[in-house]
Amino acid sequence: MVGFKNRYMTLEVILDPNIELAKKDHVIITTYNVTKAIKDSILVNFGECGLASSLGSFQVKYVNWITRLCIIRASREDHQKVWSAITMVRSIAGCPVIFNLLDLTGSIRACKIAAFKCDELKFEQYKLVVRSNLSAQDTQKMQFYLHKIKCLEH
Amino acid sequence: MQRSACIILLLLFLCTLFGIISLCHCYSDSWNSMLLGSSSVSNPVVAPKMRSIRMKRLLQDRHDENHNTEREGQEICNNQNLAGSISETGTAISEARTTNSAGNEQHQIHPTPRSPMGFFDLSVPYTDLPPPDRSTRTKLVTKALELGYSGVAYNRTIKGVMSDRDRCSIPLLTLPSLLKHSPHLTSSVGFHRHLLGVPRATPFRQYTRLTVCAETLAQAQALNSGNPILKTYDLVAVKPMNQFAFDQACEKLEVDIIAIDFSEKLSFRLKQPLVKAAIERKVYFEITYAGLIADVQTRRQIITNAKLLVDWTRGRNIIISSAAPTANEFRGPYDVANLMSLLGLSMERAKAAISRNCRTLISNAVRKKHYYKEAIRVEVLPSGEESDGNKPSSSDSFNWDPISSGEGDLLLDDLAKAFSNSSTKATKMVKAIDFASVIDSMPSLGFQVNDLIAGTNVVVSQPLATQKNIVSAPQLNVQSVATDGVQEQSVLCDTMLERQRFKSENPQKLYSSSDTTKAVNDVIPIEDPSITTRAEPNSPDETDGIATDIHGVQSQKSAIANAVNDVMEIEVPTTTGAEPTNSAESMGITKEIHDVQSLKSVTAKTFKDAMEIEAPTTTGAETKNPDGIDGVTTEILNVSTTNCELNVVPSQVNLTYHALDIGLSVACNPDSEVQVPTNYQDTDIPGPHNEEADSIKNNDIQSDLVDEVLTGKEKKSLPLDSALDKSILEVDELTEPGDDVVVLANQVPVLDSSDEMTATDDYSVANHETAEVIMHEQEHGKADVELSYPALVQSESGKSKAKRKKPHQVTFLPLKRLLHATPFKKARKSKRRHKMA
Repeated sequence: MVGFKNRYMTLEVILDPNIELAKKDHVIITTYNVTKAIKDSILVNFGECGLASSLGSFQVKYVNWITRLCIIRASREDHQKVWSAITMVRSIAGCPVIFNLLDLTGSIRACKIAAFKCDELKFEQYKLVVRSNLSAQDTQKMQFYLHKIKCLEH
Repeated sequence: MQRSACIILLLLFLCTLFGIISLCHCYSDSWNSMLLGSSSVSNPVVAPKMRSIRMKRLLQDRHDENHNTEREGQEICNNQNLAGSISETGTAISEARTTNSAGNEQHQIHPTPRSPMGFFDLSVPYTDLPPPDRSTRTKLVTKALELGYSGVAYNRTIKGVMSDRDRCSIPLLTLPSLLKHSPHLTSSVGFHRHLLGVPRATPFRQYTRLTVCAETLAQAQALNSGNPILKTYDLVAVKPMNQFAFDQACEKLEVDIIAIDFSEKLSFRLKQPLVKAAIERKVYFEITYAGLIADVQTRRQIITNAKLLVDWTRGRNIIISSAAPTANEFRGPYDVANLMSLLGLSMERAKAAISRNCRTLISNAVRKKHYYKEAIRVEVLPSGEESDGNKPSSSDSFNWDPISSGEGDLLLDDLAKAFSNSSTKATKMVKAIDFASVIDSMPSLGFQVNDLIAGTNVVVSQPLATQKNIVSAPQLNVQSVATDGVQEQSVLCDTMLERQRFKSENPQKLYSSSDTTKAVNDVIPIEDPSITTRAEPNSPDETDGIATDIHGVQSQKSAIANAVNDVMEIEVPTTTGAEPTNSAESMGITKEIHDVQSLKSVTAKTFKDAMEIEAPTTTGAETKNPDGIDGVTTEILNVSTTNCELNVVPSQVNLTYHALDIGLSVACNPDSEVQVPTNYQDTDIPGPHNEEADSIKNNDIQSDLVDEVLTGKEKKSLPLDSALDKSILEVDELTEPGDDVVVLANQVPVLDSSDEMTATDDYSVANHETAEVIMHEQEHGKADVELSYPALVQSESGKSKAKRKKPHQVTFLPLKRLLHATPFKKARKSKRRHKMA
């Protein structure tokens, strides 16, 4: 039996909640961006030891910049700390953000199901927002991302 | 010699042994009788000790950690593969908990559609500054709505002396303005609400709140219930700046919230007795989380200071709000709950703090407010032209007023459809009940509208006279009676009207106890010359009559409010306090009796109708009034008795919910439900004058109910603690009117049959009850509380003793085990199941 338990958090990133920046100044969220921002937050709030202990299992598994969804893994012991740290992230690369947790699961399988659903719904919303500007490229990308969710591994 | 000595010693030893055995016997017997089939005593098998310890812990913890215990129970269940039996309890909450904690592999955040508890953010800062700030507020509220909150309160802070300028002038935001900021609000809102488990059609509420910085005695004394400026706000908070102010706030000041600024070094100490006193007075402490997010230094201070508060309050009576200066510091509800874990608040409590506690607070505050604020509102509206916009609002449990902008109505398409029979697009505040318009607008739901009108007309005219007589008496008791009576009547009015709405609308709709109180105010025709628009008291038009009545209320508001508050305070501690819920139930039941009797004194036919309506949902036959207009009442009963109940005696909303829970649990099993009224009938017929007997009977009824619900057939197998567990759930539900309504909505058709059955019950207490009798009943109720409490304590201790003695019993009394084997086994399971759920 797998003795090591994780928690998989499905989060959405809300960019510029106060609508300060123009749309085009929004940062593109990537795995690297998000990882860095969260690690900084853990370092500030929980210190070196906090960061070190949570770093073992901490990983940003999936980021979708179109729908702004991300899946983050943390160990079961530290997931609350990591979650608090994520909540306290104020900006990514200069763009103010809000992380909002959508789902918290204990297994990658359940997480994939939830994230898939959320991703689809969010893409619908994205289509509403973008409307006519929706490019085929975006749709393609979405397909790619959805496929990526399905292939997520432990 | 030696042998004789040995023999003597042996004899002595045997005697002591037998003595111990007999003691065990005695204990077990007493336990059996007390616990009605103490499963815990007699179940000798399978790690009894562990289970007993857990059970004991569950029992002891139940007051504080209702959720936790149930989760523990669930874990125990899971360990022992009893998860399947958890669903036996009829409440959605239990199911949600099962699914929530059932496994690590499951989703852990999303509640299954449980009691739809909305999330509230009760501190959105508001300043009087010119428009640029308005947009900040709009953005904040947009964000709140998007993240899934169900309501916000605009907080205005004032220092120093209050002047008339400080009257509430906070403009509520309208949906169009929000849509301007975020055009695709609807889909986003729907998405988040779905994830949070909040029903999509929940209206978004806006309240107004005032925070008064209190430093000196003069400022503190301004915070009393007589202050008219305070009344213009929905919520009142105090921000103590020094030790004296804090002492006053905890012990005397009539505020809803104590908001301490934790981001600076505290200039006073949070003392345990003061905090405890505040909790008992139902004052909530507020923790704001924007500081945690904004700045590192403030983060440090807040955590240091707020941790103290959390320690002293042990997590109770805390609400969490944002006080976010901009939308950047705003966070979603679950994120906020998790942040609170940094302060030492458990996840359960944090979630409660951001949802249930807020809701309780709001319902209490709005209820208090509507006792006397309605007068002002009614003036604004022309009486006969009330649109239907009011009705759906009034069917809300505590506050549709802030939704005056029609905020919640346009959320989603299905929501708009739900409101199709109301013209809620218009921004109208909820005002007096307008029977005429409601009746016109309402689709007929098999409802005898004409009878209703006739009934209500009678109601309006009659109580005026009677009320006046009663109200004129200077006694506080009489006033409380009158208010109760008025409430009853208003309940009737409200429920009749709201019933129609209720069915047509989203089941999420809650009954507004505020509306009840409005009607209450309406009915009390106390003269108040200061209010000019008060028309002739006996106008045939119901709305007018109600309007005048509302004005009448205004004059006596302080007195009555005090009376009602006293009544409320008497009740609330018993129901939501740490006492055993059983006693609370009995208290509630006696209170119901009390209210019913007070109603009688007022005597209108419709009053009796109202009582009859309440009766099935409350304790049953006690509230029956044989004189009532049976024709009307049965029809009324047919519609939504449960809804009525919610509105009954707003001061006793908690208790009615309690009773409703009982009804709910009963309703799960239609058979048992039918039996319940008969139980009531049987017990009630003997007469009301044995109030204690009644309440004791009620206790029995309670346990009977629980029996029926849980096992269906077992009689005495259910121990008191299962009843307690039920009431634990119910205590939780006490202050969740919405939840009850939702569940009740499902149960309405089921309960209708029971209503009809009970409709013919004789209200044997039909005699006029004076205030003294009522107070007497209250005392009885209290006595019952005290009676039952030691009984419960004893039962608990008895049980633990039973468990400890079990091994002995196993060896010495094998016959006993055999005798009690079968019934107790089942009972034990049911008990555990019940506990788990």
